[in-house]
Amino acid sequence: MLDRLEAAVAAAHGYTELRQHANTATRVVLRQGAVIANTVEQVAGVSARCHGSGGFGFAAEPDDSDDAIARVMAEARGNAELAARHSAHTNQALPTTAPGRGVWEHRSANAPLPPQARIDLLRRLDAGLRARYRDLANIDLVLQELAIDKALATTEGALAFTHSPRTVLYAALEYRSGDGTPTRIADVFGGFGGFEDHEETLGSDVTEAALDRLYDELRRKADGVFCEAGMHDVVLDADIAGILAHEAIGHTCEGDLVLGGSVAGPALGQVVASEKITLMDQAGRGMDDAAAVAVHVDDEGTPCRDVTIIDRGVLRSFLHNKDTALELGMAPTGNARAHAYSDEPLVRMRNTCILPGDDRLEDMIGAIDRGYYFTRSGNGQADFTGEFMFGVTTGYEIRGGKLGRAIRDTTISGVAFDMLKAVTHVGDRFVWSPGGWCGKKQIIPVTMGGAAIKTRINVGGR
Amino acid sequence: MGSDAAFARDLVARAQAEGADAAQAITREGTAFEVNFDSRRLTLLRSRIIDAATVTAFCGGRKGSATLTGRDPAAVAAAVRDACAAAMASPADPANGVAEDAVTAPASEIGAPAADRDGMVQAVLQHIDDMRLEYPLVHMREARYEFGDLTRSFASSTGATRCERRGSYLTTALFNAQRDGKSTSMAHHGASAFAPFTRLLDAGEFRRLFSDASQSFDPQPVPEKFVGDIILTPEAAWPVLLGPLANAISGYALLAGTTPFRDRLGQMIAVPGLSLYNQPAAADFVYGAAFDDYGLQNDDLTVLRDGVLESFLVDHYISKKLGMPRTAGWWSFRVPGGETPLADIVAATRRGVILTRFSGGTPSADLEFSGIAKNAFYIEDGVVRHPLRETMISGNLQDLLPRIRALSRETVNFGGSEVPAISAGGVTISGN
Repeated sequence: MLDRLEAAVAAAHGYTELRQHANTATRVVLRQGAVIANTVEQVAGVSARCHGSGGFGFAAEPDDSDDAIARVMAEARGNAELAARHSAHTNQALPTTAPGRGVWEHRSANAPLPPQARIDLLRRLDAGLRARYRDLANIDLVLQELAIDKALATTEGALAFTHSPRTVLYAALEYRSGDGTPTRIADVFGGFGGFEDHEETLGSDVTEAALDRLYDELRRKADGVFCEAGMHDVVLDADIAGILAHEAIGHTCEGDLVLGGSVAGPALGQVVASEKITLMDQAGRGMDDAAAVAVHVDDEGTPCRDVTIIDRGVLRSFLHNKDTALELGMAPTGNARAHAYSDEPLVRMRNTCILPGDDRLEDMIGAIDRGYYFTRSGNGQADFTGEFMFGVTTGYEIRGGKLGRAIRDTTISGVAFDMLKAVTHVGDRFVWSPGGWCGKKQIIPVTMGGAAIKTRINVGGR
Repeated sequence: MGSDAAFARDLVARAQAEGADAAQAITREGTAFEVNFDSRRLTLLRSRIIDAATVTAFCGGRKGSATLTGRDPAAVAAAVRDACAAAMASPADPANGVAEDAVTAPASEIGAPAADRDGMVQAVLQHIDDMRLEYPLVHMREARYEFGDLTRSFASSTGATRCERRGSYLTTALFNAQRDGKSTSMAHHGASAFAPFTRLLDAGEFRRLFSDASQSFDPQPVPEKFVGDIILTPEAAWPVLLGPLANAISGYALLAGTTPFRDRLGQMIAVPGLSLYNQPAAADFVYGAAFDDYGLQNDDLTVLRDGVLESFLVDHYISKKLGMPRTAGWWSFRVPGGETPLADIVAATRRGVILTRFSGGTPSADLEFSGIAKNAFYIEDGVVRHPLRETMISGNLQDLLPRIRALSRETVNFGGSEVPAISAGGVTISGN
């Protein structure tokens, strides 16, 4: 495919990206033991994006024949010319970089498994849970695989192919108390690789033991208490710190949001966090080659590089595509990503994380007289202003430096840089999330990582 | 393009040839054109050919589906094989199967036939100029004006076929206000219609929301934690109240068995002033549909009448699974407005918050919710006092429904729902 794309783009007039892109997904959903979804999906096609006089044109078709390639290139060029004709604002060319070139297969050495193996895994886990815990009111098990194949050629000489697979098992358990009150708890397992890479672990005692712990936490949560609303000293466990890195900080440092007036824009070079905080958006598969997303060359053909957003408390860099780099007079960072063949590349994060420190979790909890230890988050959102919120689905009171009762669901919020300045401890255990998503016109898979932090934050409750 | 559901019928035949004893297929074909822009300029013109299909195979009560894009013969054959293989791997479930009562109906068509590309570009350029003049503090990002032409076709092994074409326009924008280096919170709005918008600035509720954004500088937290009223504008009423309610009374929540509403059919669950109707086939819902994903006609349904829960939202599968009547395979809800203008609801509020966006998670299993009030203002003694920041609201959906104080006379049609502003009491409101 790369040869065909390279030959086609060689005939282009003006800046052009040409991408053949296939997302292959499988999804199996078990609820109350019934298979309510069992789907295979392949969303595939070819797209072109052209640029001229400040205007971009884009076109996509669900077809990768030579004729389709010629059509999308002509259509995208026509769209770019129409945009430029009506709204030309610059004669400056997009910034150039060394062209990203290479093939990253990340394909499993294991043989693909048949559909039956997916169903068998979920039914085995479901049956095991029902046998061990007869008081569970409901079990949801969702197995999702997504393999992204992208081939890219650009007029600047980029020529790259990446196969990036991810497999995630989502498990949610529900319990109904004597008074009928339902309580739900969920966790995510898996990570980078195809189902064939994860089937053994997901079906092993390790996963069963994790589900047993999840059940124990569910029962404690069912007897849990509502948080006291207000500002509290808290320890945010590694999973939540990772979401914090992405939602509260990462988004405000995306070049297009900086141009949109994000709070990070005027703060470049300033102290925005405790000196214990270093926060990065990492290329490839992250610093330990263990993140759940692989991005080596972005969808504009820029080689991806690690971006240190905050270095020991000082805001150092933003995330860019070529357009935002041009507008802000900076260099592209390899953050232009598109989710599907029919999507244009936007400024997106890749593997975003707070680097680990040297504090032990027990010392962080021990340093709090009255507060909370939050361990799992349901979702999160952030704002241009740096204000953010996360739903917290699992956590515990801290009383006199010790863990106390479990809590019910709550929400935490704050202003990102204020909260980071209040960080006093950063944990020594680093964790990547197995399956993060980010929504911004298009959804896209991302990885979030971090270590536990101790800070002060606004907690919702009664 | 595809008005006779030929490709859908072909997929059904292929699935049966592959071993399925019953099958159905849905195809989605069309084109989309969008003009992306920000406050200064056009940023991207994007055109797409849409051609996707989902084939579902049933083999002895086993079910599997496959979705593909395009018509490449090898990909089509692979999708049919994948659907059948997925079905064979599934356990048998008597609830699985095509809808035997789906019937063939004439193809329908609504909306503009094709994008007026030059007209759309001109409308956006005019909008950028209008914004400079009328809302100079407002900055738009990720804004677009889009036309979509989509034909959705259905066929099943019963011989039933359906086909519907919709051509519609959408304008949407992310925006905030900026002044002297200060930025207000991000806001979002979209408006849709079957015909092109005469003037984008007049579409939907953009004027009200741009005006709100321009008045949202120097926000403050609420003075103290208190229990008071929230007024959900139509933009917030769906995500805070009505969306979670719909999920909690859906068939899939009943299958889970844990929804607090599972035994409440026929009971009063909200104030008498609240009614909720599902009307997917209504002529004014751009994102409605004539038929659902089982090829069944989307009929009007009364979900809540005067506060009484009259119907759960049950699709074909759940109706078979739980032995309940099928009621709703597609959701497009309408909540009739009340008698009171929104301004009077604000004036009658002793202490509370009016919010346009809720930054919060899905309510918990027991329908507790908490999140941040965004694009929000503090109200005291009937007067809007100041914009808010770092303000958390929390409560319980079940408790909130009987505490609804008023529904505004004004409603907003979002294309897939129409709702008024809703005020309710007894909500915990706290600040930093």
